[in-house]
Amino acid sequence: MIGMKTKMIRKNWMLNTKIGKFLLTIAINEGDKLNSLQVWKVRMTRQDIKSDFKRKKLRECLLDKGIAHSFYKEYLWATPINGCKADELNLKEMVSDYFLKWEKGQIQVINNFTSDELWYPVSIVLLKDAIHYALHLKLKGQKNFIINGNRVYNKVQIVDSKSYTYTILGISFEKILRWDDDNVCLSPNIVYECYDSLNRRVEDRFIRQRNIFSVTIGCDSRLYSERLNSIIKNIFPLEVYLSNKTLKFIYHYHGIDK
Amino acid sequence: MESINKKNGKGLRMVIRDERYSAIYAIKIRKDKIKQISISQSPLIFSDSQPSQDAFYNPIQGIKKYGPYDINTFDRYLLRKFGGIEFFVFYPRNEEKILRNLRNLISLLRDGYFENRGTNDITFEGFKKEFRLKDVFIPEDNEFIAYTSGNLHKALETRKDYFKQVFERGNRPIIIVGGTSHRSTSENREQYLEAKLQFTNLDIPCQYVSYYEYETGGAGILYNIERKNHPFGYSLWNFALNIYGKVGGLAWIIRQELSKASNLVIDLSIGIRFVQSKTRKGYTIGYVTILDRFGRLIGVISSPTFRSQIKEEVPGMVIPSQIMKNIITAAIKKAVDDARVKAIFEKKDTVNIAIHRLATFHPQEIQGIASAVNKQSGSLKIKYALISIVGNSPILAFDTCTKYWNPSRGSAIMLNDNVAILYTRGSLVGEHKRPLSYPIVVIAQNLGEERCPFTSLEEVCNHVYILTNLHWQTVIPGSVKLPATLEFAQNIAWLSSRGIAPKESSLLWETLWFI
Repeated sequence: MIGMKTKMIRKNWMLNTKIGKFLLTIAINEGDKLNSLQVWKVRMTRQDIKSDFKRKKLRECLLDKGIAHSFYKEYLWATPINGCKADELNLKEMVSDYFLKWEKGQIQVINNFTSDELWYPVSIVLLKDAIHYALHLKLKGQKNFIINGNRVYNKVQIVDSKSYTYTILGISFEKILRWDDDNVCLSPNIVYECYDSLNRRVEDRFIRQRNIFSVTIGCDSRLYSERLNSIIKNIFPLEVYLSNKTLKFIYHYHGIDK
Repeated sequence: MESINKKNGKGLRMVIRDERYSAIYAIKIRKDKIKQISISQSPLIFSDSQPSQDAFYNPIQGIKKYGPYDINTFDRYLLRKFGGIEFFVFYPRNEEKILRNLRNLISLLRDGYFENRGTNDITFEGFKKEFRLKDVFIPEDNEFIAYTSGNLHKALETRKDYFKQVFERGNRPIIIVGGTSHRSTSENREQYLEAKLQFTNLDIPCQYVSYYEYETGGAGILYNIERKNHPFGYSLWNFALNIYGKVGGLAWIIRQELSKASNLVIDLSIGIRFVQSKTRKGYTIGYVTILDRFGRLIGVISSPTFRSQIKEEVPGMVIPSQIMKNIITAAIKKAVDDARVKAIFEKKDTVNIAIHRLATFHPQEIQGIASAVNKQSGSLKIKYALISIVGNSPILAFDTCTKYWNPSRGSAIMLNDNVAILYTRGSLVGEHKRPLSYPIVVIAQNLGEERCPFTSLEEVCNHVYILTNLHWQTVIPGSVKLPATLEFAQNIAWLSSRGIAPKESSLLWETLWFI
């Protein structure tokens, strides 16, 4: 389904990319808009998490179950990110074991997902979880890829190698921005990681900086864009599920006339 | 976000570190508003009588032709206040490499550098000649002063009077200290801090020069000087420019005109940055730098330590309204009381102020700023702009018209009515092969309001762009990303948080002691 649309959009876009354009590194969601989004709201705070599951561990456990979550204003805000809708699942059954208490929750349809009020404390957090989940789903079984948060590195895309170290290419989807009303876009960025000859991550900050610097210093915008294209082609089109909405990130540039 | 921990202060540290990016969350792109906006290039001015055909001289061209601005001005407040510069050179005992390279460096400073190490190199005709000084005293090799790291104060005890005598001769002293640390590493940082602390306490500007070695290479000006196949001219020029700024010289200015269409200028630019207090855990200190309409540093205000507030719904920290009111009140007062500014303000109906920070202004902070401005308004009509900057834009722009797709410096793209990305680094010519540079994001938070002096986003971007050329730390244009207000405040904050700050009445406050 996504294949045809991707080809169409890409073809139209290529026709549009004439000389005299700026390309902005933005991947606009081409899927559902984010109005009328179903989320669970359960009255509780971080203090209600069982001590075994504090912080990172709770996030890992909920991500394993395909649930994104955030705490804001005395509520747990959660939503399925595995393709199910909130009203198809029983949240209590899935996650109540992680909490000291469980009050009856409700499914709320929110229409202000990209509002100033919810954007930072709730929406960004849910979206980051959803992208993280989608990246794992997309790259499942592909052993060359290392996923670290919302960054993906490709072990075989070596951009530089020295006597004892080498540097690989990665991409970050950590920056998410609002696009018009009820929509979002990603701003993908190239990232690098540095390994030694025994394939261990180089921990010395100075050596890491020097090696990564030597890769970036020779990288003009055109080369950057080639690197971006080469790694993103393994990831896009990316479908990101957020309860009753499916976001689709197909292309990573937006062109404007100069 | 989840790791914000109000109880033990860990969250506060994270928040301050992330201040550089926190305004990202305020960005909302409007598809119908995205367009390129035009930014005018403001020339560096080296002389009041500089003709318009010399408008786009770079720093080296300008200084070579005219000398520094402060010898070429009719403004008595801007004129150079000293006749000459006297150097003192310190080196750590038992560090032969440092001593050897210091000798080379100091001789180049005195006698000039005329080697041509490759195509991209430049000559330097000696400090005295390039900066048109009456006297420059540069010590001979045997006059260098050895010190033991950790005991620098002992080497100074018997020499304090020497420094005082320099002022009596109408000159300014500068201390050059060699060491084995480097700004990009924390290794041996205590050496750097010791030098800065000891000389700042004596009210003497100090320039640290590094020789830093690591497994497969090295860094620092003393390391680079011995790389004979590596161009050294620009490093030497930067070194000399830093010295000139640190003794209180003014190499060039840029006029802060809002736009070509109007005669309005921004009279004061105020930059605010925060650091965690090293002495009170969980507490924050704010540093405010004030630049006048010529880009001169008028002064610095620091806040008392305070506990910043964390509000769930906003990223970063929120400054208590009263603290914001106090620091802005103090900044305006400092400017109004300054003889250099006072004369200009007395002739004006309205004073325009731009306030910069690396986070969005929270309503309670805006309330504090408004109170501070209202407090002054009895005697002075003030308009103020609130400008948030994102240090690293999440969005890049590629200029497909150019060979390497690099947008030229000064390119700006509007994202909505109040937000634009702005390229402050890179080449003016897009065709040049240079590494990709990240733009900044400029957010004009109160644009369109009656009290905002700016009338368009173009004017705001022009203003920010002008201030990025006012750093006086490098002779290479387009190599500093943030406006001088925020760069300076960051440097001062970094040093002050480590207990290094001149005394209130120190002459150092009229210099760029912190660069």
